[in-house]
Amino acid sequence: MKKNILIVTLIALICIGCGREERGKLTQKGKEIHDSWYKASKMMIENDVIPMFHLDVWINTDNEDLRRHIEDRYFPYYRIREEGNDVFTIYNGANKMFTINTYGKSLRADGSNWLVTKNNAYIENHGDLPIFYNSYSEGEKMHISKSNDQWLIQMDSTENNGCYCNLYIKSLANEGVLLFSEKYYTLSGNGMFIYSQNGLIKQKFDITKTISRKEKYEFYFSEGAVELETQKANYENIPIKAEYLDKNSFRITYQNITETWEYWESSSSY
Amino acid sequence: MKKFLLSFIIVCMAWGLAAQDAPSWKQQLPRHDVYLGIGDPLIAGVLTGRFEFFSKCGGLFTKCSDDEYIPDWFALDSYSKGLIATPTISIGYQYRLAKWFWLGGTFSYTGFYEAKHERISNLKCSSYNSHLISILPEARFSWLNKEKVTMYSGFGLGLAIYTDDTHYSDKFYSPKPPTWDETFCGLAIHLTAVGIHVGKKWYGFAELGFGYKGIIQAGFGYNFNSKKKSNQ
Repeated sequence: MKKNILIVTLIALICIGCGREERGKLTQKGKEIHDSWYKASKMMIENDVIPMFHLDVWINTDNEDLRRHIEDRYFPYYRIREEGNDVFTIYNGANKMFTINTYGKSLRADGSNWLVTKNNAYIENHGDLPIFYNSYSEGEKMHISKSNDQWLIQMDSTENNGCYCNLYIKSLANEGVLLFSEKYYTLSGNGMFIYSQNGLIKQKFDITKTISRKEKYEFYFSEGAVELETQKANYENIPIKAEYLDKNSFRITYQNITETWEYWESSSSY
Repeated sequence: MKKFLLSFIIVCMAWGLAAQDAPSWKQQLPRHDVYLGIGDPLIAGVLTGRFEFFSKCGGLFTKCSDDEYIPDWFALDSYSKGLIATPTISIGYQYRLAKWFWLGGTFSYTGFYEAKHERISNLKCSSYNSHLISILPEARFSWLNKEKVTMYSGFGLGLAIYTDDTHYSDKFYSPKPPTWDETFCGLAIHLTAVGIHVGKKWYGFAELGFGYKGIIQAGFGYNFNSKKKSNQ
C-alpha cells in the first residue's frame, strides 16, 4: 500500500508540458519576409498601376456606358475629374487623392509617359483604389511609360522618401494591355520598398529571373526569381532568395538553407 | 480583516469544544498529521500569467487580427519546446484541536520553466522561468471521522511570493535585451471543498478545491500522536 502510494505520487510529480511549439521549417522567417515583399509588389501593381489602365480607358472612350461601368466597378468610392491640359484628378469626397498628368497620350500608346502624384497621405483603401503601398506622405510620385509593348513603372527615391523602383511590366492578357480583372503579367526590374515595423525597414529587391503571373487565382507568382535584402539600422542585413516553381509552390533560401513551400503552408511561428 | 476575525472566533470555539470533548477521541484518533501533496498548476499558472486562457490577443476566445500583430524580422528566430509546469507541490502539517477541527499550515511551490531554442541551430538561446511559493495557515473541518477514513473541508489564507527569472544566452544576444523580471508578494488563498484521507498511520488523500494548491490535489501523509498524548 505504502509503496503504491509512493509510486503514484512519483509518477504524478513528473512535470506537465504545455504550450509546445513546433520547430517547423527553418526558413519560415525568410518566408515571412518574402510574403511581405510579395504582398507589397502585388498591391503596387494591382492597386497602383492597373487602375491607371482603367482610367486610360475611361479617358479615351466616347462610350458613356463604358465610362459609367468603369466608374461604378473600379472607382466606386471616388470621382474622376478632368482638370484640363491633360490633367485628371481623383477625389474621395472633398479630398483630392491623386493627380494624373497624361501629357496627352494614352497609356496604351508607345511613348506615353504618365505622372501620378499622390495628393493625400491618408487614404482608406476602398476596392481597387490606386494607392502607393509603401509611401507615407503626400506628394509622392509614380511615372508610367510605355515602350516595346511593356510599361516601365518608376518611382524615384528623392520623390518618395527613399522608396524607389524600376519595374517593367508586360501584359499576358489577350488584348495586350492590363485591363479589368485580367491580371496576367510578367514583371522584371528592381527597387526598394520601405516598411515601418518597430523602426524603419528598407527592403531592396532585384528580380533576377522574370516573374510571371499566369492565372487569375494563383496564389504566388508561377515562375521567376527574386532576391531580397532587408535592412534595418544597427542590424545585419537579411538576404533572401525566392524562386517560383509553379502556381502552387516556391523555394526560399534563407540563412543558406533552401526549402520548398506550398502556397497553403503558413509560417506557423508567426 | 473580517476573515481573520472569523478565523479567530472559530479557533476560540474549537478550543472551547475541545475542552468539553470527552477524552475518548484523543485516544482513538491521531492529533498530528504531516503530509506531502501534489496538485495541478492551473490556478497558479493563470494567476502568474503563465497560462493564458483568456488573453486579449491569441487566447482561447479571441484571436489577433493581422493589424495587431507586428512581427520583428530582425529579432532572433526562436521557438519554444514547451512550457514545463511542475505540479503544485505542498508540504503541510495539521494539528487536531478538536475531533472535528484542525489547525496547521502548508508550504506550496509551483514552478514554470520555458526554454527557447534558436530555430536553425536548435541551440538554447533563452529561458524564462517563474516560481510561485505560498505559505498558507489553514483550518480544516473534518466532518467524517472514522478510524481509517476522514472526510473534511477547509480553507487557508496566507502569503504568496512570485518571482520571474529570465536568462539570455551570450552567444545569441549581444547586447542582451532588457528583462522585465519581478518579484512580488500578495495574498494567497485556498478553499478545500471536499477532502478524504484513507488509511491509518500512513494514509493517502485527495482533495477537491480551488486556490493556490490547485483544483485537484492528492498525496500521502503520516498521522501520529505524541508519546504523552498516546499514553493518556
